[in-house]
Amino acid sequence: MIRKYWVGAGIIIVLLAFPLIKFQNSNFVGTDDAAVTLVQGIDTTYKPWFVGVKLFDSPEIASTLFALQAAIGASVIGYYVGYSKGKKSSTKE
Amino acid sequence: MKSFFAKASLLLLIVFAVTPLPVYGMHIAEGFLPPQWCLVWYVLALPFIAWGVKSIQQQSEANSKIKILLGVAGGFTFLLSALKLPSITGSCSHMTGTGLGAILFGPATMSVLGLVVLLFQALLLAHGGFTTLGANVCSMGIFGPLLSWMVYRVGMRMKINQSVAVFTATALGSLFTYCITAFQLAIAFPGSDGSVVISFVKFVTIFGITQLPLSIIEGLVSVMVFNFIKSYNSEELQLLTVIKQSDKCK
Repeated sequence: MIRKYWVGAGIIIVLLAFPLIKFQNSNFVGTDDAAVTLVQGIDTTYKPWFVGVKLFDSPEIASTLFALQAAIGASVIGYYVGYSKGKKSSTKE
Repeated sequence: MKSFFAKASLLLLIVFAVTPLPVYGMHIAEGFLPPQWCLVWYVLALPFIAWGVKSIQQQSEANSKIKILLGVAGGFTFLLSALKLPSITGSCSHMTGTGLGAILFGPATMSVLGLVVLLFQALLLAHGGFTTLGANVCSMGIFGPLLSWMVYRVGMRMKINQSVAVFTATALGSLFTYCITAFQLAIAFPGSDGSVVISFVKFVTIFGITQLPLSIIEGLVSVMVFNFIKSYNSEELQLLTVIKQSDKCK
């Protein structure tokens, strides 16, 4: 079982490291930006009919908010891990 | 030792989450679906969301023990859909995290959790959008999880290895999410000759190939989290009919 986890962790690291090494000069645009470019290539007259309200127009703040989203998710999972372990150890006692 | 790897995986995910990368989105951008298609996808998504709300109420009332797992499913989706990861195409995308929840609670519940995540991103991050919310809920919150749930259930009936079933279900669900996104754009923007198929191939080349390695990662991470849940909450998994009594000690 432990070996399987090592293999899994190794695959994850390789899959994440490979593009970073291969595309060192890339700015890794999002796939939606690429899709928007394709939409405008298919229909050259198309213009977005609604422009969303950007509460925070700064990339740095947006990065922080993405990190906040991840932190909320990680906190919930962290709480669950602690709760489960605590529950199991108290049951043993 | 197993818990060490679970913690290490979690730590790895958090490191990637807080690594400052430029913010790019992966859902259909605001205003980039014609109004009639926005309406179609909203109409399609609403019954699933209503079903999901009812399903969450029923499952929680039937057994309050599963509430913590509902939180884990939501937290997992929140975490994974915030991780912008580089891919083999030189673009970046993110995992969905909805497959694991679909295995645990079924696809209806994930339509609600998917909606919450997409609303958060549309409201605060201008990622996706309100006009395209229905379409994005359909791809990330409904059809992707639906496939994950079906693949897992079929896998269990065929008595294949549980970890293999979880991996296959979550990886395929993640990939399918973006195939649906490609389909949504293709029917809204067919090629100059009116061919939806040619347009779909172009869009799926952007979304699908980028998503492929991330889907594999999502499958592997989902297996690790699922095995942790199975170690500590096998009773709840039995209540949700995710595992059988005989699977408990495997």
